[in-house]
Amino acid sequence: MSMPLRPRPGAGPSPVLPLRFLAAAAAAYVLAALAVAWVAPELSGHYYHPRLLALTHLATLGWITLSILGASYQILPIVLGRPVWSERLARWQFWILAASIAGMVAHFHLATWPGLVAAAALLATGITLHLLNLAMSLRGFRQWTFTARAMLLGYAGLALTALFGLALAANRVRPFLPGSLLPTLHAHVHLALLGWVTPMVFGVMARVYPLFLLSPEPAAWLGRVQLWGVAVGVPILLAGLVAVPGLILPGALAVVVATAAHAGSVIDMTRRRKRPALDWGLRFTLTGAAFLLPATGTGLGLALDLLSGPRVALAYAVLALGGWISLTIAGMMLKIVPFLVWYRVYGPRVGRAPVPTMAQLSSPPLEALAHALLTTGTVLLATTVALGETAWIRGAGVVLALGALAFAAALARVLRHLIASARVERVAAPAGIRVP
Amino acid sequence: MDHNPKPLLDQFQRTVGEVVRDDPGAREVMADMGINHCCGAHLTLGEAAGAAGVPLDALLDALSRRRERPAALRDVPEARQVHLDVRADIARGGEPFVRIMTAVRSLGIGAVLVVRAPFEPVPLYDVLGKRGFAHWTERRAADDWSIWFYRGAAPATGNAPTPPVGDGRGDRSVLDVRGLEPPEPMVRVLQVIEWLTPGAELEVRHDRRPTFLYPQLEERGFVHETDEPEPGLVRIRIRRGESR
Repeated sequence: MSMPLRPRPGAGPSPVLPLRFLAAAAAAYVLAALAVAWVAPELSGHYYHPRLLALTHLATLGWITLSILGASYQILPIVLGRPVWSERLARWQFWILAASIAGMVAHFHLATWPGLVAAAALLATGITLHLLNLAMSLRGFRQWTFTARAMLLGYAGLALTALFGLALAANRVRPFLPGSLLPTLHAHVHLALLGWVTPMVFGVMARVYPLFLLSPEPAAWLGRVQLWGVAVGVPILLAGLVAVPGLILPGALAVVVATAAHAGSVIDMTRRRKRPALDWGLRFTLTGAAFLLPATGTGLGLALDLLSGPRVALAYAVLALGGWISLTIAGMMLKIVPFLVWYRVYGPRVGRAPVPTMAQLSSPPLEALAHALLTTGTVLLATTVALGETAWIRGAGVVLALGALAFAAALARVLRHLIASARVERVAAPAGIRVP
Repeated sequence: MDHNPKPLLDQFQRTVGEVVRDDPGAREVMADMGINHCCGAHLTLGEAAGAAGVPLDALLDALSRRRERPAALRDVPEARQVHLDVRADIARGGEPFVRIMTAVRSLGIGAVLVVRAPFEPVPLYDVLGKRGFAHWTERRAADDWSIWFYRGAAPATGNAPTPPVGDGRGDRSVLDVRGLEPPEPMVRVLQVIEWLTPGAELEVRHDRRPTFLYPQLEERGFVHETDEPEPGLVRIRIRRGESR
């Protein structure tokens, strides 16, 4: 096969665009971690509480969704080999998403539902713009690899999650949805977690792990199991949650099989890696992957009715969102952000002047501290919310918050290269000096 | 520390006369340290250092610094030096051989590899010598050595690019960056293309389309074409644009 391709001049990805999303996401992560200690009394009770809904959406939309959408503007060119169709549209989309997420979190916190509907509609607009940009970027795309298919599945999940969320918000103002509130809410949560975030993580990590671990790509059949497990399992699980309880178990089992295939591929890639030492970014993602076991086990326990109750459900959410997803995203950020900053600041100087390596931009001691605190904090939080003791939950929240602050400080140390470079450019430009 | 004492012993047992015979400039270095070549030519370096009250380490250090850099390594710009510091790897008990060989495999046109190690890696000389690499050793301290590996027959200066071992054909050179962690492939390519002469072509073998590299190439006035001759191999052909 021979496909000559010459990208348009200037069609290269802007590192500032994903950085904007990632910086905002990291800020949301810090806020969410700080808020855990504050809402400790609510966390010791039932999860259906306006403050907990605000915290959940700060984490799922502000931290997780903004991270993935931002990273996709870098990942799209790298793993799919396609430039972003319109960076201008993406910049607009960022502000729409940021405003709508802030609005949703605030309205959840205040329990003001008409405002929530407006913010949710704005969020749906932002997501529609992202999907439009993506669709235009992928026009004529032919290489439907596992990663490309998984990302497509994830984006379908995102669109459905946003519509479902909008319907739930509207339902608060004018009830129209059939069925009980909590099962519908569970379906929304699982659609977001398993329909949107999970396939994105499965797909992206299948390309990113080999890239950074210097390992072979995972076996194709493992990819197929992941795709089919999610594509078949999630709709069945959702149908079980909202209508036919008998479908919950088969749906959950299909997702468990997909998750096991993902875990198997991660273990395989880690074992066959050529890279002898792991940096902290990789340790974060691998620690996140290790959380799959307790998260999946708890989820399966809930599906089998071996476990039940709002506290176990909260612990399940902490293990899945705070453990698997958050640590994976944090690890990816510790790889992506230094690359983007290095590319923006030092890329143009390579071959012309000495430049630091990407590793020299990072701060391993801060990253190690963040890793220890966030891992410990997540385990403590999952345990303490299951026990329902406010004081212990608050303690776990403090550990988590310190970890998030250390993580943010590690990112800030990288970002200061960008700030210093921008300062030099501001001084140099009026004098007609070209940097580099 | 695991330190190979043999090179040190060899030096210790060499006489002042032998050293000056091999490197006449060393006479001045030793004279500065109070070692007289005329009267003490028969003394070993260890004896001469002891007689002059100079630490042997300091004497060897000065002589090592004095050793003339080969012509191929004079004026090698920073951009063409690939530095690999393996001291931390060895301190951790790690094995840096894979890193070194990975760096060697992807060494660009006319580039030199500078390995920094806590001891003189004598076995490496033989391994890389068989691959056509000459070396020049710089002893910075007893536990700090810099070894410059360069392609023996090819001058490291001048504008004419030297095709990488085994792959070059005429004015086309091949740079294989597969299996390197980002952004190392981009770094290697950008280092090499600075030395590409007009009309010459660099073929980069990559494991994916280097989307972040393209804007850098265009900004520097290079033209490029990409194809995928087989799954898992992306080939990018780069040459200078006509305007430059």
